Amino acid sequence: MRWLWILAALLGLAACQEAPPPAPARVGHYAPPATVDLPPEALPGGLTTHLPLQPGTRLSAEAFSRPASNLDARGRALFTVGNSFFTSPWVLAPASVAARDGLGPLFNAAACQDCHIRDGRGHPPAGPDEPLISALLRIGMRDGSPHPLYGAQIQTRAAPTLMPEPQVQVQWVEHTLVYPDGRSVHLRAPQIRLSDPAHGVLDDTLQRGLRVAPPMIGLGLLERIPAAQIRAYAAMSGGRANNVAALPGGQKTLGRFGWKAAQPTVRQQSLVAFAEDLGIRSRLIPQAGCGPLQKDCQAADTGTEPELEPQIEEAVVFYAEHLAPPARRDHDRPEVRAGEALFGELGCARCHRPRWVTEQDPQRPQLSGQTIFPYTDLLLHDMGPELADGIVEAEAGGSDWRTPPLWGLGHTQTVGGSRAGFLHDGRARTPEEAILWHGGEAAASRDAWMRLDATQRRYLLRFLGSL
Amino acid sequence: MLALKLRCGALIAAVVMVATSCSGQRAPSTQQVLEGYRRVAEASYQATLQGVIELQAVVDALITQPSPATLDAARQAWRAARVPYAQTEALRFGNWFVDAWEGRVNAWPIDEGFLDYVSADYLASPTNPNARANLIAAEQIRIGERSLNSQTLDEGLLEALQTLSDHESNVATGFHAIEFFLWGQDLNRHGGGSGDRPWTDFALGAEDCTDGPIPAPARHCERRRAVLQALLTLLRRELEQMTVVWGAQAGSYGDRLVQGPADEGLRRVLFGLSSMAGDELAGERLQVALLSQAPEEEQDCFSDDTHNAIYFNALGIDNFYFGRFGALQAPQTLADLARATEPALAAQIERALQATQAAVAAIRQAGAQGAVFDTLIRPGNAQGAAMIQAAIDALQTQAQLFEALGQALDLGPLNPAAPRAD
Repeated sequence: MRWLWILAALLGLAACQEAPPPAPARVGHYAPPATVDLPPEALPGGLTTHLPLQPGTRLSAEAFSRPASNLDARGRALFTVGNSFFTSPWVLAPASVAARDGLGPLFNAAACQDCHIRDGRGHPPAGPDEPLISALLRIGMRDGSPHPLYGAQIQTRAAPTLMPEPQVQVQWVEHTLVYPDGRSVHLRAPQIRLSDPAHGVLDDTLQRGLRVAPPMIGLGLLERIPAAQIRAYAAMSGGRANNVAALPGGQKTLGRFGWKAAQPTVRQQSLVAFAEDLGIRSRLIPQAGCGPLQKDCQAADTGTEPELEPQIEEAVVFYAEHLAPPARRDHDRPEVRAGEALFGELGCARCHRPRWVTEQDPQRPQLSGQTIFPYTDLLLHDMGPELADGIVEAEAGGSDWRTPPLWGLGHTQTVGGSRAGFLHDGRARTPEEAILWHGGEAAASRDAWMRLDATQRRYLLRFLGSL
Repeated sequence: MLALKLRCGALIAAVVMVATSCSGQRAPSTQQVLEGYRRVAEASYQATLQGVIELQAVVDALITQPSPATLDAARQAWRAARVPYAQTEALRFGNWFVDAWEGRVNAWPIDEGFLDYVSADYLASPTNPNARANLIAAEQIRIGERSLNSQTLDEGLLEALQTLSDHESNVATGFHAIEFFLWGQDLNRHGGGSGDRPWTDFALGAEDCTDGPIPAPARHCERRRAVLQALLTLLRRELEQMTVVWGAQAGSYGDRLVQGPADEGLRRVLFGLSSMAGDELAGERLQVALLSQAPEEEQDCFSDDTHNAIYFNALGIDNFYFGRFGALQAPQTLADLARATEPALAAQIERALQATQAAVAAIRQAGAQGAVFDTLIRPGNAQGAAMIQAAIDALQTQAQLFEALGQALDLGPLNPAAPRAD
């Protein structure tokens, strides 16, 4: 048996003599990398795009709530902090909860998430008996000026010591639209009443614009589409830039965010929402939503220091910039491809421009240089009298709307439930209804859509559902 | 033949001894590392299940014989079950289903008024329509467009309440709902001290039942006993399932993780540890609490057990890195892999883990001496803020180093949701 011992010794020696593997070492048994063989248009947010966590499954109600996939640990931590302040309710000022107070005196919601349901769209009220919960009402005079008492927005909630602003009642008025091939679709439009005005009677000529919260995905990417390219594209799509005041200072800047592109940056959009929707003052917006004549509101909001602390502001803005668009589904199915071709042929892709490349921003490396597919030109278009709400925002008139991005469209109701509606006021219950509301500059495309046969219409809707 | 066999046995043992004596120089296979991870996961959940079974027994005693002693015993058993549970949380982010499951087991914060009576100065979310639903007193609960009959409080009702509500703070299952029923609201704000629910909230006698400071119909106490029983049944069921999920049997998630593509598995492990350290513990638990200075931000606010939760959460990350849990030591671990392939980085990681341990041990120590978490985040408590900041910094360093290890091992993006740029 002696040879066995020798063998053992040799084996042992061999094991001990084996040099440490040279660095950097390849470890273990590498399987081929789990390549995701996807073309760019299947990853609408470029490398920020997130795929389902469990390979082969569909995205869940969290589809709009994931951080940019290319964020590093430091970025994810800041995103997480921002998420907390986006999600958790603020409390009325003053309260013992030092940093989370500041809500009101007038407000629409207590948390961003109340309206951006799971970072997606809000719900319009079902009918006159339901208060506004995740929608709000913009108001204005015929000449575009704000209402002398209530300002530009009705806040339906108030601190207990205040006279509340009018309650908003939404009545849906339905009509039926018939396609040339006989298919009929019910459409609904909101009729808005303001009841119990505590401060006096409201003029019938007051313009009323019901708005649901838009989805939050990909905002930091949209912010980094070069402004010059958007302005240059106006000649191609027939759109107009909204030139808005950038705060502080008020320099005219390209508007990008909101249903009428009234805000130039994610930061300004977020802080305007903090002020007008939550009643929370920030460094940029030092007053919280009181109208010029609302003395009780002003008396209740005497502080001048920001209620939104700078560190929290940074985290929330970072969060809003880094919510990632989800990966597309079934992008390579023949019927989806056919629908995509029709989307181009009908002229939809002219305003809903598919592809952009974001600029370099050393402050936001993960959002830089990404090839993205948001399906928007970020420009204003006159959408005709049927969609008009008469509300003027900077250079956007009463019937002007910014082309909304379409990425993530197919996840809308997975995230927001069956009541998550399309268009600015959520009137469209399906993408088809939204198409049928297109008027004004988009009327020709809408008419072309109506002339498609049923199979073609199904293909185009499959394409939209794949986004 | 017998002698020969013995000698062969000795021979094999000798070979193994020689080989293992220098194993520090050899990189373990990724599969072995993943098997170690799986075993630590299984052992952590088994220990948690054991803790929940013990909690269930003690809660049964509280239900059949409510008294100051049985209530106190239930509270102690809850704290004990949290020790292993907190160590499992390092599994949440790399393994997609654990985080989803966690929503039923560990959801917080809670709008307490959804479940039971609350104090007059209770602050609920103004837009949560169920923030004062008071399950204990209610015959019916309306959630969205559905109306649920809540006359019978059982597991089915709690599960329905948990899933139907759009508001995450309407929590009806899991550890923190149990915690709220055992302790009640923490009304001490930043003053230290936990919730102080009297045992008479569970009293058997028709005359004795209370809603905290005031007398209550016997039905309320009966319903609290029923809720506790149902909550424990559900929690035990969840943990039994999770123990099986991480078992070694063919086809379990644990098995598939070990047998699956190696770099895929390692990415999940490293992303999970990095996320638990950086996003969850440093970000959500510590940074948010420090910024908002709100006692509501402490995770175990009713029991004031947050200092322990933080400590054991951090320990869980160590466990999975070093492949150990209690007496279990996995033969091949992520730490071995790092030492063999990236010794300099491995040394940095181990120093970072030690720094974190020191920082969270200080928080735990302070809590044990009465300076619990909500007093540490009290406005003006500079020393408390510094303790928390130290833990945040250490955890963030640790998170970044796990990420660096992934890069050094050439794993590409760690995030399992990320597109691979090949």
